[in-house]
Amino acid sequence: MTSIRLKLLSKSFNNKIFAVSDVNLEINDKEFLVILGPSGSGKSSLLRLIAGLEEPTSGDVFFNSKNMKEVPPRNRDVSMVFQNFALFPNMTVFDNIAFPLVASENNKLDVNNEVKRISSLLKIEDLLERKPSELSGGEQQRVALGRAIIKQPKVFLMDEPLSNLDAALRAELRTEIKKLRDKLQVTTVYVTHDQTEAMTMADRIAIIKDGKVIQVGTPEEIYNNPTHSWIGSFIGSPPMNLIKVQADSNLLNIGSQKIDFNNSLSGSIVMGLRPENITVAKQGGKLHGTILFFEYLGDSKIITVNIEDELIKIKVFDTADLSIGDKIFIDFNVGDIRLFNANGNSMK
Amino acid sequence: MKIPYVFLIPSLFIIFLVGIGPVLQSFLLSLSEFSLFNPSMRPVGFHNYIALLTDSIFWRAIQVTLFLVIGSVLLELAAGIFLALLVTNSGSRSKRVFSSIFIIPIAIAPIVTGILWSPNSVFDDLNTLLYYGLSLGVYVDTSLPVVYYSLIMISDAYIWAPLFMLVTVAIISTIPKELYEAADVMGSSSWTKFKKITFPAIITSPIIVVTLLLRIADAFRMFEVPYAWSFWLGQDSVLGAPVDTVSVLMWKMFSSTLYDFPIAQITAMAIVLLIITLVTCSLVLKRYSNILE
Repeated sequence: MTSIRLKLLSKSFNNKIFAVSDVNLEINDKEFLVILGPSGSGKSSLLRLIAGLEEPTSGDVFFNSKNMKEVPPRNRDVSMVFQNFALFPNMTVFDNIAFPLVASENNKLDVNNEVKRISSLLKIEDLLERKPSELSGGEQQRVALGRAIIKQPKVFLMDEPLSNLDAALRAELRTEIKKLRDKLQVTTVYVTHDQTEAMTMADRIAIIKDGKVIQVGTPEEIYNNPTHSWIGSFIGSPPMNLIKVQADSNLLNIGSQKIDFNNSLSGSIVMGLRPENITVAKQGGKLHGTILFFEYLGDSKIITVNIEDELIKIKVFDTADLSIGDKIFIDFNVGDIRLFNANGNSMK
Repeated sequence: MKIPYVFLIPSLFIIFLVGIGPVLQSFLLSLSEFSLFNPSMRPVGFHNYIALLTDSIFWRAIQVTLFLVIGSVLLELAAGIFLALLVTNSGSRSKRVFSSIFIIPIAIAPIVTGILWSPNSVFDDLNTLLYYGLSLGVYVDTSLPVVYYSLIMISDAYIWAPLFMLVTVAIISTIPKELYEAADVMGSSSWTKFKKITFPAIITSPIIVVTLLLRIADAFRMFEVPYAWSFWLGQDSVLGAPVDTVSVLMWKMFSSTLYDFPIAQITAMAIVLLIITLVTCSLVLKRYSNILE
């Protein structure tokens, strides 16, 4: 039963550049919150501040309503999974998993039984006598997960646990972690740069950029209503199309082409449009342009269309009668348009 | 097909010249009656070896040598690890200062260290202070075996612990930081972290095994420290030392030269020392073969 509150949390390593800057964040009890951001955005630093591995330059971390300022990591009752697994190389899998129970003085659980229970949960019963160096990457990460959950922590922290694994394993363990999380019902903070992980696992996502949390919301909110054009281009594959337009009383002008759009705006703004929300038509449609090239994805294709020197990506499933150089019309629902001002901030 | 072997000849020749040749030469010498005053290569078979193996003083020398080698090297290892922990746990600036200070003994001539730790330099004054100055009525009796063997080991460790310290600091710096962080988060104390992470990493490192091997081989040739002590342990024998106390093998070889320089006998001892060293090192190698592979 633990909720986490971060209040104006900042961390700087040289008092000039802030890895984490004035972060306010509420993480609810039993919530699975994913901190998503590009590399160098400060997401790992934020996690380490919660774990207590770093001391904040300013601001506070609260577990429930208790300020954790003076509480060292080992008394915070958190578990952490690291990107490079951080298994103890000289210990067997059994000893690795048992470590948190053996290390803490006030353990009342039966070590043997607990290790057996956890290892069968993670399907690593057969590996207990091995050393970490004799395991594959996926097996190592399972052991690391086992070591993290055996103590039944109040908070579960994961720092890019799947980044060192290959794509197939990543997908498999993603499902595994999701199942585990449903079973354990522990407040979890999960750091990743991978939007697929964030979208598939999160209850809520916190987008972090340059040390600042710029949007917090459910995956749907983040995907459909990004508060910043950068989030639109960061999330989604291919990312949101960002098209420079001139707003002019109920019209959006792209070069000489016009879209009817009920607005009271004027001047240069950015129109965001998701590639899958656009359809291709031979006739009619709202805009027209020339096909520049195709990207084959298996189930679908990405077409890049040049409309008045703006390159727009469209996701289509049937391209039988289209070829490079064709003049086509595109159509979309004006309700799918998102508008951002020149600074990238969302305009409702 | 024979050409590759032709190219091997120069290197095989050099290996024979500097490696195998001298050992063979010594072995042949040890089978003769050669001495300074009787330079004759007349073979006497294994006479020199039989004479050694029936000499109780020689057996005593082997015991003393083995005892001192094991004790000194273990003490060096322990002290080296301790110093390395002090150095790695200090701040980045004091780290450099500490390691510079700790490294000094390795640069001091071992004979100086031997004298420094021997009775007259420290213990005469210390005992005077303890017994008369402070009137405590106690003193360190350096003629007790437990005291002088300990002090000889400490002297040797004083010289060589810095080597283990350097190696250990290097090993500790290769331990991933995440291991300690993981242990921190999982609620372990500093002692647990040392016991479960640092110490296993040190003693299972190939670097420490190689250093141990080098030190063991070198410790068998320990001479200066026992030599320095030989002046203070009794007056009833050659060079003022009772021959069974500080007579490591090297010292025994050295003291033999003072009678009639029996080169053949001394060479026989050297061959025995060589065999003991090789056997010990191969035992250590075998014990740690899994680490070095």
